[in-house]
Amino acid sequence: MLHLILREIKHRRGNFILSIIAIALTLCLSVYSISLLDKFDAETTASLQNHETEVKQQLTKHNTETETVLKNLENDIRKSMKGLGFNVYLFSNQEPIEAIKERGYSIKTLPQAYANKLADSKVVTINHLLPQLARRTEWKEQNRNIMLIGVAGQVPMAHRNHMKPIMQPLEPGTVFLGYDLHKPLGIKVGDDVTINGTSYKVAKTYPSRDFRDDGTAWIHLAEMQKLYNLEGKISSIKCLGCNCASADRVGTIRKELEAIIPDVQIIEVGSKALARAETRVKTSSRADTMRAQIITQGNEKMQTIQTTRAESRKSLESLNTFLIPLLLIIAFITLTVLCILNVKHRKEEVGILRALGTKTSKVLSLFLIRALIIGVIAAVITIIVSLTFTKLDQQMLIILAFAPPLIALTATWLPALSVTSQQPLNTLRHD
Amino acid sequence: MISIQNLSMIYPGNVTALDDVSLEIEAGKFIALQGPSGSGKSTLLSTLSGLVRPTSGSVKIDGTSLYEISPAERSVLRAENIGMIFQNFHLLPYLNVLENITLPSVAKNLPLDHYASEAKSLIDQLELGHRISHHPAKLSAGECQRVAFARAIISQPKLLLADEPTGNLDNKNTEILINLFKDYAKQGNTVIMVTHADADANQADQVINIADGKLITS
Repeated sequence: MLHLILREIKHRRGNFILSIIAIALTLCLSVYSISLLDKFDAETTASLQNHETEVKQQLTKHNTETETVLKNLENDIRKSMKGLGFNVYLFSNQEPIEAIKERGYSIKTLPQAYANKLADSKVVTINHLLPQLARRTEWKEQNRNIMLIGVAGQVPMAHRNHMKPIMQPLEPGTVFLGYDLHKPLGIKVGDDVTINGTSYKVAKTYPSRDFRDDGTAWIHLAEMQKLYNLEGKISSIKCLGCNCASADRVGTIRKELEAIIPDVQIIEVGSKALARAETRVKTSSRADTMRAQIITQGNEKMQTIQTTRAESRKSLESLNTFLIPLLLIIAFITLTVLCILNVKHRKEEVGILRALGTKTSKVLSLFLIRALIIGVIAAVITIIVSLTFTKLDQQMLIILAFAPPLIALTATWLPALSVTSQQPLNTLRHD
Repeated sequence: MISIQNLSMIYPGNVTALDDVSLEIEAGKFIALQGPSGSGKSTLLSTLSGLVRPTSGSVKIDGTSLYEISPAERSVLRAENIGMIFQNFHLLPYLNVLENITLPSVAKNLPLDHYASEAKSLIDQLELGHRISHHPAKLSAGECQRVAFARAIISQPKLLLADEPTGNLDNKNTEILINLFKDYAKQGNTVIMVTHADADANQADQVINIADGKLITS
């Protein structure tokens, strides 16, 4: 019987090939359409993963940079604090602290005796008392504005053991010059300089330190007091190397000093350590803001990608929902038409076979086996072609293996049944 | 061998093709069924082949009532006992001469080449040796009908039914075919041939005339 079927297929190969093409082409297009959706999903996942990796890399880089900066700052602060402790100035409380900060010194004075009073007390939070009188003045000989500070050296603390003075004492008639005051003028230690008519011997020249010190000249306190007619008066007491472990160290010092010299206010000097600590806080805060910004921007971009791609996927999905059933219907109709044509051409053959005594079921099976062959070949072609442009999972492979034979058998069944159930003599006899 | 009792056939539209026909045909006879067009001779042949169920009456072949058995049994009976030849040959266009002749093996669930040796022998007898692998489209009408004859007798049926077998043949091929029928009948088989032609009918052992669905001479 298979021989008979194969001979018929060979004889009507056009119909046979078209039937295979109808199924295979439709299923390949359907698989391609589905694969586009899978490809789209894979692209979406890849895009989101790339973006996520990008954000993570940015955050890692940012964290590393921040950590490095913070670590360096931490080290600097630790080193500075270890060596210096911290410094405070005691000013008269008769002038707002903002004005003092803006000017760089206070025009209100304190009794110089306050320094001795402190030195004689049992205060523990401050060390190295340096009373000083500061005024900004015109250096007439050089025609420039300078800071002139009168200093008397360190006031020894009575209750402490002898401590090494923190700075070199300044003798009357001598002057220490800041960097901007000696360097441009080529002044060296031992030279004589005249400041507003008074001659001083240069005892020390400082290297560049900070902008305030660089423009300052230090003379003996008594001479400074005399210059400004402020004998026994000072503008501040500088306390170096204070050693308070409390977080509110200024508050702790104020509390201790209140009982001794109540009319002073305390300013912590903007030491390097402090500045760096502030920088550290700012850096840390800015880093946090930046990190939050990176995360927010990343999330927003991710959201945008997800939304856009979800919309596109929905459109593609809608197209597939419409296209795939349409393609399958077209394939089914085409195949049915081809099958009807085949059956029509074989009407005589059915009559002959029936007249020769072939059972109806056997004649029907000739059509159905042919349909099965069409379906199997279409399935093989569909699977091979589909594998060239997409990967097929097990479920899809099963569908593609069974769908074509099923479609071919369904499309063949009714036309074949209609012809085999007809009177064979209708096509054979002539009366 | 063949017993027809009160056979009537009325087609839809109340067209009477056979009207109470009764007939006994002995085995080994070459019978000619003759009558004008629409007389019912082909219908009678069809009912004898078991392909058309009559409206009433019975057809018995060797005692088996054709229309009292199931369609499947009727198919088996037809495959085993009845050979058929048609005016238009009705050969399968995609099979060659040899395969067309051995086609009845399919009806018996046998391989297509089951009767190959018998077929080749027949092909030689029918002088179709040079056409053995040719397809029907390349054959002459006489050759086609000889192939159809060979197909009809390949399984040696006891009854050979021929519906206007010489209608498309020239005199020479008609003569060849009629002689083949005679020979087949001489082998103890029954041959019933429907024909218009008196010359053909006169070659038969018995001529049965039919008109308006009724037998005229028996």
